[in-house]
Formats: sequence, structure tokens, C-alpha cells
Amino acid sequence: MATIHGKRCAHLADGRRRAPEGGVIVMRLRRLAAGILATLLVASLRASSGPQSTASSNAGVPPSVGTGALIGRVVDADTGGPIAGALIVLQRAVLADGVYPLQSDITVTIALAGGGTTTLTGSTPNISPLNMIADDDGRFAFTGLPPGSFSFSVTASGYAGGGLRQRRSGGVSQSLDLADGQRVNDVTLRVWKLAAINGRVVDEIGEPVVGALVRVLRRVMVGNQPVLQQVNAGKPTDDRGAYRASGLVPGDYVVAVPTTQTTLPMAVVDAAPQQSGAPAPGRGLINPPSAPTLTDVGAQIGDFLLPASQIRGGRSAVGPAPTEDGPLAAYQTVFYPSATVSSQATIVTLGSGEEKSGIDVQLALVSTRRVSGVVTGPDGPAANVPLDLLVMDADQTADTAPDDVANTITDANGAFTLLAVPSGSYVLRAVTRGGGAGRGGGGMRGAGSASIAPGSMLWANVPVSVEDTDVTGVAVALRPALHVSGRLEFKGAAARPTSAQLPGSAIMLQSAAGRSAGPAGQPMFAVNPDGAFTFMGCLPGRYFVRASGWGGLPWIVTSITVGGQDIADIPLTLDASDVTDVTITFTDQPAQIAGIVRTSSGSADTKALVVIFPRDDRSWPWMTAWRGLHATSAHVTAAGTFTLTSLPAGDYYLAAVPEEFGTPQGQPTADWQDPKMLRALATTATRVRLAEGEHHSQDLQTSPIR
Amino acid sequence: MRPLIVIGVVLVAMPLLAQQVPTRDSGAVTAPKGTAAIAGTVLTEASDGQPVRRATVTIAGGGLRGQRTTVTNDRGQFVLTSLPAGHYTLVASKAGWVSAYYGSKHPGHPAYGGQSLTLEAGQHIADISLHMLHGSAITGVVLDPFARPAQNVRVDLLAIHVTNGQRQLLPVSGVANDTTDDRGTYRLYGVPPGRYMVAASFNDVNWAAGNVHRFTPDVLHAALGATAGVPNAGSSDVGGTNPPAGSQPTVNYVPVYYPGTVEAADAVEIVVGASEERAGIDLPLQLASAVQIDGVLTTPDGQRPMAGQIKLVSRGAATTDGFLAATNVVRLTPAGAFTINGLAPGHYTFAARATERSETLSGNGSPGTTPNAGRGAGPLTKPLWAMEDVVVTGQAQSGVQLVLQEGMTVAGRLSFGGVASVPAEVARLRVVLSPVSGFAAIIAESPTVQVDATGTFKFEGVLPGRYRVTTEPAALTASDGLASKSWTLRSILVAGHDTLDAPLDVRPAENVSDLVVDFTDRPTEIAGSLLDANGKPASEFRIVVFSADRTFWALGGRRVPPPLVLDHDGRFRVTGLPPGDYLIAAVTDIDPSDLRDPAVLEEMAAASVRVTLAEGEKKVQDLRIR
Repeated sequence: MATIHGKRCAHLADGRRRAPEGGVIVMRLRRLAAGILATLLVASLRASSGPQSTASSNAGVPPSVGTGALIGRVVDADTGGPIAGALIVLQRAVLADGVYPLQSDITVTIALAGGGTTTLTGSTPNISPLNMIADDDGRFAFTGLPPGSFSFSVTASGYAGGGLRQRRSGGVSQSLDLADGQRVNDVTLRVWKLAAINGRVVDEIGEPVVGALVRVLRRVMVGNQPVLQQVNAGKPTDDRGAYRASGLVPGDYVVAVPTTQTTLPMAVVDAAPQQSGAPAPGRGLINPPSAPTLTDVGAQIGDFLLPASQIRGGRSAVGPAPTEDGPLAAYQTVFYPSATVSSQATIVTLGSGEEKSGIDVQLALVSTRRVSGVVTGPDGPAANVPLDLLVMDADQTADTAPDDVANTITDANGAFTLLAVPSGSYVLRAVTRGGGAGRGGGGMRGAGSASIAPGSMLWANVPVSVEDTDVTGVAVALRPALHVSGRLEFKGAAARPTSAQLPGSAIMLQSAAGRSAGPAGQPMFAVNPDGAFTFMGCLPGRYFVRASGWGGLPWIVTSITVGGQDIADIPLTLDASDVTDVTITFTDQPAQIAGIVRTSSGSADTKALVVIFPRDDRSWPWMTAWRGLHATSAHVTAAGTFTLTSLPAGDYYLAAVPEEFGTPQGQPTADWQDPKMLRALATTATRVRLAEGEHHSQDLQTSPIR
Repeated sequence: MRPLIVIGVVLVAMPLLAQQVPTRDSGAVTAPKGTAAIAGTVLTEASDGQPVRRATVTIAGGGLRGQRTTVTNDRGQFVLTSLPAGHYTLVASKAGWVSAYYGSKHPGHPAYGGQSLTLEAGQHIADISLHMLHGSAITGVVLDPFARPAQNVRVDLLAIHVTNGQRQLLPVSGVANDTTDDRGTYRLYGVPPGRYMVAASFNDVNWAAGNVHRFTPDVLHAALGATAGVPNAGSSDVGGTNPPAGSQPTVNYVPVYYPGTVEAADAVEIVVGASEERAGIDLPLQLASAVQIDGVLTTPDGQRPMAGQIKLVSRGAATTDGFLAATNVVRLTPAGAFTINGLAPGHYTFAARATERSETLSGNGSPGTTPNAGRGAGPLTKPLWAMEDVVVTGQAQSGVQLVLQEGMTVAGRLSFGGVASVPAEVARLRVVLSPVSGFAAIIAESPTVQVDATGTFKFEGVLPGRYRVTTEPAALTASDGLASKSWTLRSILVAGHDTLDAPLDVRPAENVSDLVVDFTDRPTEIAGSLLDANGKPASEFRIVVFSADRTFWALGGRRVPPPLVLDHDGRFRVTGLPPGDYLIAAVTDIDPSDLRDPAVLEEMAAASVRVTLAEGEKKVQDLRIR
């Protein structure tokens, strides 16, 4: 438990398990592997004959090369009963023994480190994983295996999971190291019955609504606010109005039947190219209603059209025929059981394998009002601007609303009308994309600032409240998208990035709303040779500022501030004005912490996950979206040792947790990042203060988790 | 079981006139804004006709741009106004229900010719009734061979059609396929009454590579037998006697038809009535051992082809265009080798298509002497083909050799009314071979060749199979000196046999050199009009003209042309029929596929009028409904 200041610890391997042959051989082979991969890239460029000429770093199992065996069973985790017919997929992890998967058509020339070359011709025709179906007793046996690190996955209808030593549905599985000729007889792969939500959707008189898309949204907390995340969509409701969402992980859910009321100006429709809406003469087949074209418009109301899909109630029920006069009746989005905003929805909580039935939703016809106005830009009325009407609610913001309530597009005079808006509080959002700017910052990385056009994107967010009269004269004034600017600073003696290297820095704004990208995609950015950077095309919202260093340079991010306030672990709130004073500081003296994890009996714990997170708990609620600068994790090595590197100075909690608290399959964040878990960990975790450049030594002990 | 669709009427032949049909009135008047309107009710099919609310009613055709849609109210009523005069299609649809087309007796199908509703300017029709059938539902569970529910299995509904005595399986319009959920259940709904088959096919990414093994006790015994000790927890060293992981046989799920058969011929029909729920249509998936087949494709002289691919067609497939005829396309390595994984036992046809570098054409660089086969393909390649029927058993096969053969030539000439000379415009024509069956149909290529100035043409590298021969365009206007003449196709003869009646059969290694495409400037014609008993045009009827010679009924060729749609004045016209005796019948609603059912033709023949056409004859046959 000693703390060593300023001394260099022995450099441990990078956490990857060692092959049993011994360190020297492993190192040499690794170097060789790097050589092969690099050369393969060249080879595939030359070959360019097809998609098959890529090398997978996640190798399969070459047949006929070993005598090892893995024998076991697939069982139901709850009952212990066998899962007959389960499909077991066995995959071998990274190369460890010098057997490389190569496509048979590729010849690779490797430059040896000691000079000279050697040539390999692909001779491993089958690099795909091994698949096996279990028998009636859930048994399987993979034989003839080479040594290596193996992982399992299981596919069985109605079940999830199946990784080795997985302890719960959606949890993390482990891999198995098989020595040369070794046989393991007791591989148990557990699977968990999937949770599901069932129900029916009926209309206002109780008739089934056929073909409605039911959204099952997972409700997670980000920054102490609920965010609704889309789960994989099931099938539309059937002829009984029934739906079923299965394969759900335990958690909180909200069920919605969304509708979007679309209004198209007649002038825009007429200007659109005529599509093949007219029936072919002689044959007389009309287009099936499921494939509407722009001209298949169901109803014209004055100068506007409700698209055919609209008549069918947005995405769900068929609404009544629209009329020229009087308010339109429309189906409104309903959250189970009968809420119109998600904050009033009843939360459906699912345990592992639980099935909730009777989650029925009855659609309601509501009277609607018109909302109309004009969109103006810097040069006057703005034509062809798409508009989205979004619910303003405690639970929903423009960032997180799952669906539009209504949408339209402005005509040549910048005017717009939304024909069917239920009463409620909304925000009307307009976003125009700048011409030719493209999406995403990724493509702009490394480009000089001169090549980036000034962000020409315009936006507006206008609050609209609809009660029992039409809303007219809504003025939507487009304004230029926001800029977020600042500079990169460097603390340390190492050579700074050259002006050529600087623009290669990976900095980004990440939406904190739990979505991968905001409505306008990733904001573009530019870095000047003097370290000044600017993000263009930003929309209001909360964003994490993220940054990483340069390959080959020792710089790591040590702090991110705006106006002197620390935002390294919490998002930056962007409202209506530009932000100009972001400072991203790099250091060449990162701290690191290393040690060994032992079990309560004193032996090395070889399956632990070591986590470190900041003592300041203000960032904890945000860690379900991004873990920030001061939190990270690492798996222990086969010897139970760990090393956490590239840490900024600061006060931390350090803890060892079971490996399954890592990132579950398909989830963006790890289980240990849950604020409740962090609070629990903080009570037993080791407190650590890291100084700049410090190499800290700290051993840990794991205890059973209740 | 199928509702009888032909409503024949007894016809009275009006005096036969051998004279020119008056040309249609083409004096177009500017269309006024629509003044016609319709109103009606959508009701259930039952005798007491309950209203169907929220049905989508769509009208299309006439002078409308696109179509117009409305929705029925709670009493099933709808109104559509401001309609220009014209012929319309009117349909009521609702999810889970079978669409009802105005004028059609087939639930879910439009009336043939479609536009069965005629509106005049200012006309108001207020009493339209559309009767909808609530669709039936077919549900069941797909089980794996271990009697567990199978998820993500695609289930298709296939309608059984009988054409020329042969059973055809076709997808059902308006009924979507389904995929089983985590309980293995599926539900096909909105199903019209009829005869069906249900098929299940399993597609999973893990199975795509075709290397799924099945655990058997033998595998375990082999593994355990290598050591004398009792298996226990932990591990032990094993000798080298284990079977290598890759050498065990692989398995694959094969598509099955209800009630669990691989062969469509053994499938059990599901007869569905109106608005019924058919539960318990369960399908057990079958796991078949699958093998790998390796082979090589070579040119006739043992070289590797320049490029090629192999299509694999399962002969267990129900039809060539039905559901389970899905073909596997196999890619070749540059050396011409191929590997096919995960092939379930069964009968397959391997159809290979390849090209080789043509020495004769590339040698001197002047390809001009030979008309070029294919659509503007470069002269440097020559098409080759190979076809092999392969029986796949449980045994892997390697070294399968597919030897390519050269394609055949099909040559011929055009003739115009038997005259020796050809019009100059002949070089505008192209001759097209459309594959009907055989190898060519598997590969699905339609070779096209340009006719030269002397009126001859030549296809090279034609694949074996049966082809329909046509020209593009089918007619030619020649400015023959002062008189301009219109020429239309009369016959395409090979060895005295007219390929317009039965397809051209191109057999392996047999070239066709004497195809004569004959045009005539005196096409036959039957025209006339149909009036009802009150002497008004009966435009809602369809006219069927078909050969009186029953030997042509099963062929489905030009002697049984598609039904004719009457114009506003009740007039019809058909041209270019070969000389012979024909029958004319009037029906209210018919599907063109019905004309390939001899029983339907027989029924119509009983209420028909006979007409004899001589070479080049034009006849007018007016008809009246008695």
C-alpha cells in the first residue's frame, strides 16, 4: 500500500493476457503481427479485387490445427433445464500462437525486423467462427481446437445471454484460455428468458388499430433527467391490434403510439416532379395504399394537402375524413395508458425474463387547431424550410422528444401552416442546413481552417401554445447556428504539436441527450495552427466537450474549462448565444496508477475490473451518457495486476468490481457508471489523490457483492 | 372452392358487316372542371351488411391527376366530389380486410381492365355499395427439431393457382409475410378466401456461412474416448485423436411447407373460407445435414474462363417463379474454382454462365463481318454455358468439373408479304429472344440483335432453352416509294412451325438457321360494339375473343388474347389474329390468368358467338345482350 512518488514503476504489459509460451516469444510474435497487419493493408489496396481482401483482427478458428476440446451444456439460468437446439458460436480471440487468418487469394510479404523478407500465402480457407447446435440435453462439444483465448455466444429463441461465466441477462461474459491439448469438460453457458411487453392498440370505440407502430422506449436518467431511448422496434400491430416487444433487458420502459400530423403546401406538391401515381391504362391496377407517392395525396384542404399516409393517422389508425371547414379531428400521440406527454406516462418496469401483458393503449380523437406563420431568414422570407413541432414537457425537450407532433415545410413566400395541432405547449423548430457543408466533424479532421466554409446553417426554436383557437402569425426568425470556440493549451516541456499536427486533434461536441448526434449531426470544427478552435453549426442543447491527443505525442487532456469553470466531466449548456472561452489543456505529465487485486483469501483476483472515478459527485449523474475525463476502467491481467494510465491530476475513488459490471452488450455505458452504483462503491472505495505525472501504486482487495 | 368469376351473358350476334370500322371520334374538347360526384356505403359482405367505418376509399383514373382518397364515417358512408367525366377504378380498403374493387367479383382483385366505374359530366351517383370481406387469419407456431419455438423464421403465404393443369404458387397481394416472434408464433392476416400453402424459411446470419455443426454423442465419445479417465471438472491433456473441428458434417435448416415437408408436392393445402381464423397451422423446421461441394469451371479447351458465375436452383422448388425457387449465386475465384457450403440434400441444377476471350474476334480487330450478339457487348468476349443436374447426398463432393460449352447461333431473315425485297426501315428493327423455360430462363437473359439492311439477323452464343421470339418494335411503317405501308407481325416460322403459337426450342449444339419472321400489311381485325337489351353501350363488360380450336387453349398464346376493355361507346377491337375460327364472349369480370384455365373457356364457349377470320380479313361483329 505504499505510495511511490516520482519513481518509475516496472512497465507492465498492456493488460492483454499472455500466451503461455513466455514473454520474449510473445513480444516477437506481436511485432510480427503488427508487420503483417500493416503489409496486409498495402496488399489489399493493390488487390482491390473485392471485399474479401481485408484482414480481420478478430480471428476465427483455423480447423485441424489442435487437440484441445471444450465440452459443456447450455442451460436456462433460472430453471437449470437444458436448452435443446441452442446455437453456440465459438470464437477465438486475438492471435497468440503465430497462426494468422488469411484469405486464400492473398499473398503477403512480410519485412522481418532483422532484415530480409518472407512470404506467406493464405492457406487458411475457413476463418469463420465455429457454430454448433446443442442436442436434446443442451450438450455441445468443440474438439480439435488449437490453443488460444475462446469466447462463446449462444442464440436460442426467447432467450438472451449465453456467454461464459455470464451472471445475468445483458451482463458481461468472459473468455476462456485454452492451453495446447487442454480439454475443458464443464463449460456451462447460461441463458436468460427475455422480458417482453404485450398489449393491444384500439381506437376510440374499441376497434383494433391495425398496422400501428408501437414505440417501446427505455427510460434512463442522464444528468438527473429522464431520457427516452429507442429500443429495437417490433412489428406493427396485427389485425387484432396486438403488439409484442420482446428481447427487452430489465429496466424502466414507456410505451407510446406516436402520430405525426404532416401538412404539405399545395404549391410545393405541384412543384414536385410527377410520380407514377396514375394507373396504367388498360390494366387499371391502382397503387396499393401502402405505397403512396407524393401525388397519391388523400385530401386537399384549401391550399394544403394531407398526405395519404396522413389520412391513415400519421403512423397508425385511420382518422376520419378531413373536411374543408371546421376543425380537423386527429389522433394524438398516446403514452400508455392514456397520457399525451411522456412525463405522465405510466412507467412499465421489467425484471429479468418478466412478461408484462395488457399494456393496452386506446387512441383518442381530439379536435385540432391550425398553427400558421412565416419563417424569415437574414435575406427575408425563407422558402422550403422544414419545420417540426415538438412537445415541451418536463420529460421532453427538443433534444429528447421521440417524435414530431406535426411537421411541414414553408412555401415560396416563407409561409407555413400546420393543419392539425392538438392543444398543448410546443416548441416549433426550424433548421436549415448550409449548402455543401456536409455532415459531421469527422470528415473535417485534419483539414485546414481555410477549407471550411463558414457555417451557413440557420435555426430557430419558437415556443407555441395551442388552446382552443387557431394560432396565426407565428414569426419564426432564423438565426445563424451557434459557434463554440476556444483554444488548446499545453503544460509541459515536451515538444508541442506542430502547426501541421494541430488540426489533427480529435475534439468533438457530443450531445448529452443520449443520442449519437443532434438534429444537425455533429457540429463541424476547425483548429488553427495557433491552437484556436471553432465549432460551427451548433444548435442549442447540452454537449460534452471531448478531446484526445495525437498519436505518437505524449500529450493528454488534463482539463476542459469554459470561463474558468470545469466542464471536464459535465456538459456545456448552449442556449441562445455563442460560447467563446473553452480552454482544453493538455499535459505531458499524465498520472498513472498500478497495483494488484487480491481476493479476500489473499490470492490474485484474475477476473476483476478496476474502476476509477472522481471524488466530486457532480459529474456522477452524467456518467450514464459519458464517463468524462476522470473516470476509466481496466480489466486485470491474468496475474491480477492492473494499470490505469493517462489520468489527469485530481482526487479519485479507486475500486475493484466483478468483471460483469463492465459494459454490457449493446449498451453505450458500463454498469459501474450508474450513479447508484457509484454511490455504493464510494462507501468502500480507496481514496486516491493523484499529482501531475505521479506514478501511483495501490493494491486492492475484492469482496463478494451481495 | 374458388368463387366462379365468369358471369357470361347470352349474346345475340348482330348482322355481320365486312367493312371498315369507323375511326374513333378524336375531337377532344377541353376538359371542364370535374362536376360528377359519387356517394355510397362500405358494408360487410354478410347479407345484413353492417357498415365498415374508417375504410379508405380511393378513386383513380378518369381525368384525375393521381388519385383521391376519403375515409368512411361511422355509418360506412363516403362522398367524392368534383370528379371529371371518365372511367375510374374505385376501391375500398382497410387493414386486416380484403380490398373491395367496384365492379369486381374477386375479393382483393381489381376488375380486369380496372376502370369499371364510368362517370359522365355532372353525373351524380349516390347509391354505390362496396362490400368488404373481413380477412381471414392463419396462425401457428414454428418449432425447431427439438420442439422448441423458433424465432426469426420467415413465414410466407402462397396462393395456389392452377395453370394449364400445373400448380403454381404465387404470393398473395395484400397479405404481408410474417416473421416468428420469440414464442415462435406467426400470424398472416387479411387473407381472402382461397387455397393456400404456408412455407417457413429460416435465415440467420450465423447460418449464412454454412458451417453449423450438430452435436451428437459420437462427437463427445470421440473426444472422451481419447482419454481413459472419467471426465471431471477441470482439464486434462488429450492425445491427437480428436476429430478436427472442421471435419464434422454441417447442418442447415431447409425451408418447409405445412405440415412439415420439404417438397412442395407433398405440402397440404389450406382451404380458407371467408373471415375465419385458422389456428394451429404449425410448422416443424427440419435440420438437414449439409455438405460442401468444390469444383472448377473450365472452358471447352480446359482453360479458365475470363469471368463467370454459377446459379444453383433447387429442383425441389415449387415453381420457377414461386417462393422457394430462390437461387444461390456462386462466385468464382479467378482460377475458376467454386465452393458451395451448407448445401442440404436434394436435387439441384447448376447453371453456369461464363465468358472467354474470343481469339477469332480479337485477332484481327475487325469484327464487322459478323453481327454482334448481345446488347452492344464488346467483340472480345464469347459467352459460354454449362448446365448440370446434381444430386446432393450427405457426402461432400470435391473436384466437380463443369465444362462450359459454346452457345448456339440463331439466324434468320425478315419477309414482307412474301415479296423478295425489304423496306429500308428494316434496319430499325431488333429481334428479341425472351426465355420461357430451360437454362435461359434460369439465367434470365433476353438476347437482342439488330436486323441488318438486307433483312437478316444472327444471334451468337444463345443459351439452350425455350424462347418467345418477338421484334422491337412489333410493327413497321415503311415509306415504300409513294405508298406508305404499315407492316405488322404475321408469323415467325421455323421448319414450318409458328413460334408465335409455341416457343422456339434452342437445343444444345443445334443451331437454328432458318427463322423466317413474316410481316403483313393486311392484318386481320375483329371489331364491334356491345349493347345492352335497351340498346345502350354496356361498357362495364369485358370481351373475350378466343380460338375455337381447343388445342390452342392450353398454350396461352396469341390465339387466346387478353380480355378486351370496351370504350365509352361499348366498342372493342382486336387485330393481328391468325386466320381461323374464333369465339366471342362477354363477361362482367375476369382475370387474364383465368383464360389459361380450359374450364373457364369452355364455360364461355357455351355463351359465345362464332366468327371465322380469313387471311387479311377485317370483320365487324356487333353484339347485344339478350
